[in-house]
Amino acid sequence: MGILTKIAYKNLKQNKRRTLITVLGIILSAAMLCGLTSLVSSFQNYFYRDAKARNGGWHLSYEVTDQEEIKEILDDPEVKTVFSIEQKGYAKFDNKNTSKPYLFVVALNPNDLTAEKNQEMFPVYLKEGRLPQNENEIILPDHLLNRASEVLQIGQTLSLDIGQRYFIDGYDQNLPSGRLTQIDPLQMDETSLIEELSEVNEHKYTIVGFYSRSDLEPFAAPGYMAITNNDVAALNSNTKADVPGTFTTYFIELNDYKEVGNFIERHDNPLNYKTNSEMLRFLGFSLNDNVTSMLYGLSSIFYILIILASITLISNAFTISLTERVKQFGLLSSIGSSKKQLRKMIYTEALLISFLGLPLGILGGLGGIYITLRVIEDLFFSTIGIYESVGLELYISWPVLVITIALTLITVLISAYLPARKAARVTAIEAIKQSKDINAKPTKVGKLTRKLFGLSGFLATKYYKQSKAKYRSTIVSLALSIILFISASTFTSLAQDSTESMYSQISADFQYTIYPEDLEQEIDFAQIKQDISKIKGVKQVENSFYTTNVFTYDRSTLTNSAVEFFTEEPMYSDSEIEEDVYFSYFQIYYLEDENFRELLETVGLSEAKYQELSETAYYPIVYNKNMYFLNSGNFKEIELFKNNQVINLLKFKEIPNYRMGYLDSEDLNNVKIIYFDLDNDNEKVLDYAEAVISAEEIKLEYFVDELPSNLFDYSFHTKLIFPVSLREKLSSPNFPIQGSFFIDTFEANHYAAVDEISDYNIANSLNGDFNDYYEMQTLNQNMTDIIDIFTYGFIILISLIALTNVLNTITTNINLRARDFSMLRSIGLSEKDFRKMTLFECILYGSRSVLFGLPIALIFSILIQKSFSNMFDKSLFIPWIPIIIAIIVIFIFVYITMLIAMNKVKQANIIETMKRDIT
Amino acid sequence: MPLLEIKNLSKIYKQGENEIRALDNISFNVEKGEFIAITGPSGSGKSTLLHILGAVDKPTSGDVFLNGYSIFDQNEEQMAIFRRRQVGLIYQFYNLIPVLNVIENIKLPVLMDGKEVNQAYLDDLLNILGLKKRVNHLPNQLSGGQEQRVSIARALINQPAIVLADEPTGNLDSKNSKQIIDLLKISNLRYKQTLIMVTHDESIALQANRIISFEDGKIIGDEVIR
Ligand SMILES: Nc1ncnc2c1ncn2[C@@H]1O[C@H](COP(=O)(O)OP(=O)(O)OP(=O)(O)O)[C@@H](O)[C@H]1O
Ligand SMILES: [Mg+2]
Repeated sequence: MGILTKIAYKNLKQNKRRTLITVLGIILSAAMLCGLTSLVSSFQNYFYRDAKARNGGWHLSYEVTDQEEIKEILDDPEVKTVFSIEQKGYAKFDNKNTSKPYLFVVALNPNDLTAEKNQEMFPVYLKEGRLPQNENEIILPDHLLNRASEVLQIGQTLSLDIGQRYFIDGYDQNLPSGRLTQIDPLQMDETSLIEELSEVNEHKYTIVGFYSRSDLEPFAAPGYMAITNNDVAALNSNTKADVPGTFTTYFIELNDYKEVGNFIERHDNPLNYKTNSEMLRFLGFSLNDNVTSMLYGLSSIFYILIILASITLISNAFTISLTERVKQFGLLSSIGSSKKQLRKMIYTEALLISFLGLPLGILGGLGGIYITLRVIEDLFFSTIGIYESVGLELYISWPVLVITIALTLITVLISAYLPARKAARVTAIEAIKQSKDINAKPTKVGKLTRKLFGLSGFLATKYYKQSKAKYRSTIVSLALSIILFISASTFTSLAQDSTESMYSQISADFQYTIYPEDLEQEIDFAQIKQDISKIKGVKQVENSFYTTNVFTYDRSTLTNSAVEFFTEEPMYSDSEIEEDVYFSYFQIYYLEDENFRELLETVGLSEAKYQELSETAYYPIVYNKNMYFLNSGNFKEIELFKNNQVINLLKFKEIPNYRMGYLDSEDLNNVKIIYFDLDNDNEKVLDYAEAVISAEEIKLEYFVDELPSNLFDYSFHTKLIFPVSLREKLSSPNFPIQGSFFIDTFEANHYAAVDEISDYNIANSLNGDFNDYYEMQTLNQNMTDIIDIFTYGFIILISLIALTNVLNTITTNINLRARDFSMLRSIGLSEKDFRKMTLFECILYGSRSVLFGLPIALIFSILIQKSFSNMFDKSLFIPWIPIIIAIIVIFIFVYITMLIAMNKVKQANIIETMKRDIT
Repeated sequence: MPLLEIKNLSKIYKQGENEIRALDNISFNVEKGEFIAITGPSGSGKSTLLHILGAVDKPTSGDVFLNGYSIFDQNEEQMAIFRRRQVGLIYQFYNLIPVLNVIENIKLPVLMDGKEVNQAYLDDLLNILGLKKRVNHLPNQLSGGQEQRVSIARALINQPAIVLADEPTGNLDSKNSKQIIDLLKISNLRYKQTLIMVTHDESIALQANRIISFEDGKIIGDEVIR
């Protein structure tokens, strides 16, 4: 060990606090860089393995009818593995899914690969039974089981008429392969099929198993994929050729996935090729979709932030210790060390520190991510995972790790280099006298400062202005904390916004809505409610109804803004039927008594009072907000009616087998109502006066700003809410009534209850629709939890870096001035002045860092918002609350830190501190 | 009643097993307006005594009374005011505030009291100390002697009752030395200031009223000359 290395080593040992902070900085930086990279690579790797498990590990696939065509491709030395299946064709198969009337039979071609490799190339996940072993055995996908018309069982024999799909005559279209394939959905015109099977052959198969629906079967594919196996003997004797023109799909794995592009180019022929794009994407092969670009965009922003934070922390530790040691450098060079030697000494120190911090940081980062992945695994799978078997595992990407280490080392070296250069630039005596540290230019102190802070303000300003360099690092660290905090908050709020659903206001766990099939269908909602209430796991059922009625209203009932809007945009206006009288459809909701009572409370009405009012007229609770979507893409919200208005609810004359259809107000002098018969085939035209038999007065006096939670907003227009008791009186035979059941369930039995309700719906042939808010919210909650774990983890770590930094710079700065403080005290600076000075410096630090940090923080905030808007359409916002929090916390933190540091100085013996040689 | 009563003053530095008695049970009185020279070999405790009298260091035992009141019984605030108004301390090593220029450094004690500087007096001081042309310089732009003169001016600016000077002419040539001693003497006479000065210079010591000699933290001689 050379003498300088020895000095470097001794320096580290003697300045324990600084060494500790620097090492801590390196540990934190390395941990975060390493953690972030391995987090990204672990997820990327997970998605890769997931895609591979679902679609297979092939890179390219070709579809050919003639083996000769593919020969050249298969002979390419780049080809590593080949797996092929023969597409036998389609067979009609009765099942409930009308857009999926076929079985699509494929045969695995025997090859000499291991069973595992087969599975890797062409994944089949058996649910039951075993794989097919010959051309007479078949396995079926499990989603066919509950759709098939007959019960399917292992051992059962199926007789299939297998053929190929073609357009029927007259509908021919140019297809690349001349026939329809799995990527072509079932072809229909308005009424009937326009495709047919031909070249049909019969074949008998025995079912030997069921497998989980494969992603190789596209979502809109017209055929359930059934898998059989080609007979080796038959293949060898070449009897397979009995179906000419059968397609064979070759799945090809290359030695190197990066060669996919070249490979395709090299075999530039008209063959139908496909890449395994989903899997290749996660290998980093193509990056043109939104999810990955968001992932990469965000992580690079965070990279930049972490690197910035690390550089300031580490370089601050060096800069400060450098000022502490300028004298030592001066002395060393005055006794003959060369500048090169001094630089070498600093670098030696930097490397020693790195060797201490780096391994700990890397281990910490990897360990942290490993634990994080374990913690979120369950949440993650219940949210998006399909093949849990793939597992969320820590994946270390070695090149990325090496880059991380290099980055950290470079950070440390740059941090060490900058001050080393500064130290080497001054002469020995300048270093000893520290004369370059103080700005010789005279500085003025503002009047206001003098007035408010007196001598303390004067002194503080002098210190600040004359030795800006020392303050700069503190201010940069503080600014950085602001930047980091605001960026992280922006990210958190965006992430949380994107998972927040519109259902979160709904208090019910489950909604079951029944739509009448036609106007004739009578549904006994009360009975259904009773039945549902009895189901195990159902806690409470609320029933509300939704329908539409026809109204007329006078122009004078409208608000000014509505009148203005309709004048500007007449196309949104309701139909005028006579001068200033309009005809409109509004939605009516009927609430059960208890729910209605709650609503009455919100408008300040007692039940008795409402009863009393109802004797005289109809008083709905009105939701008056109307949303109009403009052509510009914006929307306008307008309150339609003024307070205390009367509008009319119309009843129409009933004509047997006809119903009221629409209004014809082309000619204001001759307004007509058109009736349709039930098949929409015939119509009858009635004069308006003849068709309308009554007009009930509806008084609009009680308004609500928000819809009750158990009403679902079907449109964005005025709604009138009545108690269910008025349903009979007000409803019109023209409009069907929908009933919605808002159901609260017991958590433990939620899914069982949902299943039972669904069975109930089928058993009673009801036209029901389900919304499982409980499930949506659980999934949402999981997603939010995952995001929270990441963002809060990030905020905590990065705040640690930033605050260590601030703590370090402030305390060192004050320690450096301990001697001056003591001197000031020795000539009589009082306690009060001391405190004032602290406060003033705190304001200096705080305001400068806010001035400097806030604009940059906003830029980062916008960058993050921009990279999010790749995925979610959002307008930019300014994160006010985090800004305010950041400013307050900065000031408080600085003040407390300074107070503690100053207190220490204050308690020290004056003369001891003054005599202390600060090196 | 004497201005200062120094009673059984001891300052002991403990270093492991070793004890250094920088001051060893010292007692003496100082009358108002006296000019006392303190002499003694290096390390005999002269500076230590001055620091304690200036209330910037604390004794291990014993006490110092100013007009009958113990200066170490005061609270921090009273101590600060004592240091600001009653004492002018000229250090053996020069402690100036590095970010303030000459004139600002000199004015500091007055500014601390929120008072206006007596401009005529300040001009006098600057003239006598030969700092007129240096008022806008920062401490690190001054020579050692100039720095020392600035700290003398700072000690005198408030016209304190007691001036404690620790080898004020240690770094100065004989002409400058004479001027400074004359300044201190004039100040001592004109304002009835009490002057306690540490010096190695026999000729300076002989100008005092009284010479106290130190050795190993003890007083070995205390003679009134005039
Ligand atoms: N902080 C300290 N720790 C230990 N010993 C100290 C400390 N400060 C001073 N001393 C010792 O106390 C003794 C008195 O020191 P002091 O500074 O009072 O001497 P002095 O008489 O002023 O010497 P000089 O003429 O060299 O200035 C010395 O022996 C010194 O080593
Ligand atoms: Mg001394």
